[in-house]
Amino acid sequence: MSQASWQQVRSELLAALELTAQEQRERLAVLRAATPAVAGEVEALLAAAKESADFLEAPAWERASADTGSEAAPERVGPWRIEAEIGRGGMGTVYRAVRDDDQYQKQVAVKLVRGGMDAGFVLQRFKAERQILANLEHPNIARLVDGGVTEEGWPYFSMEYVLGQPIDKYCTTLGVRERLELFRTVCAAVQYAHQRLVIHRDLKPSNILVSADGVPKLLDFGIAKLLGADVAGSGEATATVWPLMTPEYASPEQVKGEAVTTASDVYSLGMLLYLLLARKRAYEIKTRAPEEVARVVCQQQPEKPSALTDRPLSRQLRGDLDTIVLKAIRKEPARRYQTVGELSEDLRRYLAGLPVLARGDTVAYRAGKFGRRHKAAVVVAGLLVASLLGGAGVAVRQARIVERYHLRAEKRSRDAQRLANSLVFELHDAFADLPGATQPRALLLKRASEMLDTLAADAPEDPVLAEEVAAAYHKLADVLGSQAEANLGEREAALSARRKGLAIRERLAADAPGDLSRQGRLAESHITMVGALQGLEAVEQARRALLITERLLALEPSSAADQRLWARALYAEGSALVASGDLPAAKASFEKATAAFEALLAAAPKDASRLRGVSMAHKRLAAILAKQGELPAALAHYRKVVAWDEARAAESPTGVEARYDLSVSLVDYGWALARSADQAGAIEQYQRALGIRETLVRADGGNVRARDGLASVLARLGHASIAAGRHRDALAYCQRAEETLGAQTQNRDLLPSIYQARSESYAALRRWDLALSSARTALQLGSASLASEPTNTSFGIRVAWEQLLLGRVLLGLASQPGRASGAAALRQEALAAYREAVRLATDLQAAGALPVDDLPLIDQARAGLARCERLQRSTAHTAGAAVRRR
Amino acid sequence: MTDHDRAGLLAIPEPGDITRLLEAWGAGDGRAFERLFPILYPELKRLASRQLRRERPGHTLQTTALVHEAFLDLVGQCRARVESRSHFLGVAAFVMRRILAEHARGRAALKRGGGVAPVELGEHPAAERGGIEEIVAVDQALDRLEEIDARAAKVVVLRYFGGLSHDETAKALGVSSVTVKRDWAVAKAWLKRELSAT
Repeated sequence: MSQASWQQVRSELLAALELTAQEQRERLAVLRAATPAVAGEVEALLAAAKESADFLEAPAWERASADTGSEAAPERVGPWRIEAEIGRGGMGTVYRAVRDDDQYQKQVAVKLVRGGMDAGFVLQRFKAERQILANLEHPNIARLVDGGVTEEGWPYFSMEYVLGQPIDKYCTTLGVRERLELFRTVCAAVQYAHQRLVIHRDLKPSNILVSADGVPKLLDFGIAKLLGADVAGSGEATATVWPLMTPEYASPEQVKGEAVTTASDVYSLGMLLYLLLARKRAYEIKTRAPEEVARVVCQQQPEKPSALTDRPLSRQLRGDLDTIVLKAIRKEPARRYQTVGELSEDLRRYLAGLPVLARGDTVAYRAGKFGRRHKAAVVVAGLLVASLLGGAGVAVRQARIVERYHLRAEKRSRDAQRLANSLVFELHDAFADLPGATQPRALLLKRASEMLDTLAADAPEDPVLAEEVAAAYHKLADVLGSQAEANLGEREAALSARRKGLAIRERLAADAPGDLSRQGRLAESHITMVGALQGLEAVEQARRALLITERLLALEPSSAADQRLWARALYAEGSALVASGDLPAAKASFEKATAAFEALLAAAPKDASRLRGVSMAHKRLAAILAKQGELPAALAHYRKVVAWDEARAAESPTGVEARYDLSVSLVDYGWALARSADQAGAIEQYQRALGIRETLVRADGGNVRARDGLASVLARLGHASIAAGRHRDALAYCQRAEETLGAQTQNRDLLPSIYQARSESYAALRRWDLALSSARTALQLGSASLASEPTNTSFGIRVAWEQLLLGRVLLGLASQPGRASGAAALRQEALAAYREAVRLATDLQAAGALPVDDLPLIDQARAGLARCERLQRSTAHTAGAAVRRR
Repeated sequence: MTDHDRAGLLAIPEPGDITRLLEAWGAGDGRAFERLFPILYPELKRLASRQLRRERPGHTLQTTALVHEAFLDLVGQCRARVESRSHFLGVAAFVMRRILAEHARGRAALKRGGGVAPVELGEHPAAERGGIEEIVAVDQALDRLEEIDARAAKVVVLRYFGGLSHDETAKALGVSSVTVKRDWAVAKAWLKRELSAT
């Protein structure tokens, strides 16, 4: 273009820029008549000027420095050799790479955080993405291959390298049905991510590549988010991430910085579907100015996809597909499809010619749909409907009455709900730590329980109400019979309440797999089930809790609540494993649990519940060490435990729980001392525990656990006294223990233990008759326990010891002078008892369920057996000699 | 660029020289620009590289702040007259154009590496295109604009590469603010059309 004509173009352009659109058109028309070349140029420049509001306004320097990273691409990252840069975003750079050693030709995409970027935020997001990908294994999601740290110390990870086209480009050659099928495959991948608590938040064509063989793959979880994590600190996180999103696919809630849910991905998918079907976006956003983006996204109502297309496509889209797309991209999240699955299902229904759910159930609509499937039948049906129309007025009136009734019923149910919650949560909590309150608390909970059953029977649809009912069941169970709180020994009622609560939470969690807090509460339920069950059932519950908590923690590693839940799940697993006899596995669980609780305590050293957690976990670990014969290690743990518990008890002088915990620790410490042959030390610790427990029982006589606890420490004092050779003391302790033990005792281990101690004391005092009757009672009680829980190996071990004791006492009695007449029968019975002891002990050992500590059982039982056989041989010999003499 | 570095190293300029050169350039002496360019280039390049190495999204240093730092290094605060600073900004804009275009070309080449289309691109041909590609495209189109409208091209250099405001641009070019505004509007439309066409 010549200088002269440019000057004319320039001045025409400047003049036109001052005019309205109409005036511009008129002026251009005049100009076109005179100099068409100039008019054409001016028209093109005017069009360009309209689109250049933001153009060049950001200085080049600022653009260059916003383009992150300025160094050259690294040559290699981990085992990968970088071939080329394939993408770059606010979060890092993506390279195509191959294995450096060329062992096998495998291409990957390596994502790398580069030096200089805002370390904290970017690193955090980067790690989150890596973690999120690690949890996603789906054929339609680009897979995580490996991850690590570069030589410079920057984190990287590699993903499956997807060679393909963005889905919108790929779709240009496909028909509507094929597009819908492809889109449904994408939906399945997104739904899979949602089920793993991940929202993608940046679904758009360039993040969904379709390979040459037609497989779509979801990429770029760079700003993906853990569901439910918005609850805390939503504003900050969303505001930081917002500028990274693509406005055309961002939902109104994302643009406004509100909580993002799975419905936000539904929206983005809806926008994608719009583009795939109409081949145009619902609206173009010309600028990145936040106000304008917000205005368009939040206010502008998109046209129906069919309105943007020409026939014949528009005819295909009109109706169901319009409706489905518009439902997916509604401005209000609550009015969209609630899950990606629903959206996909509606498309499936469309493809199958079924009525879609997006539209309400209007009669005309259903009839129309039905008609297309069964053209002949509909004519007949139409006649029938017409004949029925006479009665329609009545039906409408009745519907109104029913509706009014429902509203009233719903209100009443809410009132009852509120009352039940008030009873369970407010009043119960007010009573909770008050000595002497066990009875009124139980009555309160019985009433609340009845109310809850009524409420749960109506199966509240409202998840908030449902969760309240579940929580109330758990609270009820706690008071009714868990090991963790004072109770009246109604184990079965407690277990039943707990199962009801668990069932509700399972349903709630399944209804919304992405709701993080629901998952957490489900884990909580599983954990509390562990204490109420035995054997493998308990282990199974603990494992379920662990699975959930590990997943939660993987997604939000810094959440203290999740860490605590995880630590508790580990603790529960350890407890369940101990009960099922797998000590090595239990030890591993408790080691993890102690580390987890210690990390929590380090963050809040005075927190009573963390102190309790750390102390409990150490206590359980110490118990296992002691059982495995590692006594010095166990004692070291116990001393720490006692110190922590004393600190806690000193903090809350009226608290029942802290004092009870301290007494338990003292008992356990004493027990370990006894195992180390320090009987005097053991008795000293037991007596300290005795003092605490006597006070607790005096304060709340109705508390079964307090009574059991007191009896237990008395029985232990009995055993320790025997070991110290103080048999009369032992008998006195046993007597007190049996008197203390109420009829409602939960500790089925205790009474046999008391009789065992008694039998041993009598035997030592050579009171063989009394020793025998006590030994028989002990065996009878122990066998009954074992029969009720055959998998409980500690019951099995006890019965073996009881058989051994019985054998010993029988032999002792048989060897008494003046017993000659019945001696043979006694010896015969002793032989049987020893045989049974050997059988039980060897079975347990074969199953790996015999702790080191109980190993002497086998030797002693075999020695007893041998002695019996020797005695029988010698008596037979003597008898034979006598016969010969006679 | 090594030539410029060498020039910078060998002929370390006196602050007084630079002030005189700036005044000469302000008075319309074209040769002064030829001498100023190699003096400013290494200094601005040094500052820009340092900045680009530790860039952080959202913490971008403004162009004028960067240039001002170079000015302080080269001329010093106290000796400089207000006009000198304004002239300095003017020259620096041209230097920045060279530095940024070189930088952007290097980055764009890296991005295209292997011939695979960048994942992030393709959605918004011009608007969403990375800053890097835009800088390269604008630099190239600017050569063509210079041929038909030299002053409008200068305005783009000062505003876009130099980061100057309308008023600073007017002062540096010795024209009215209205003229700058009109040149800017015309140049933007023209460049937009050029960039969309490619």
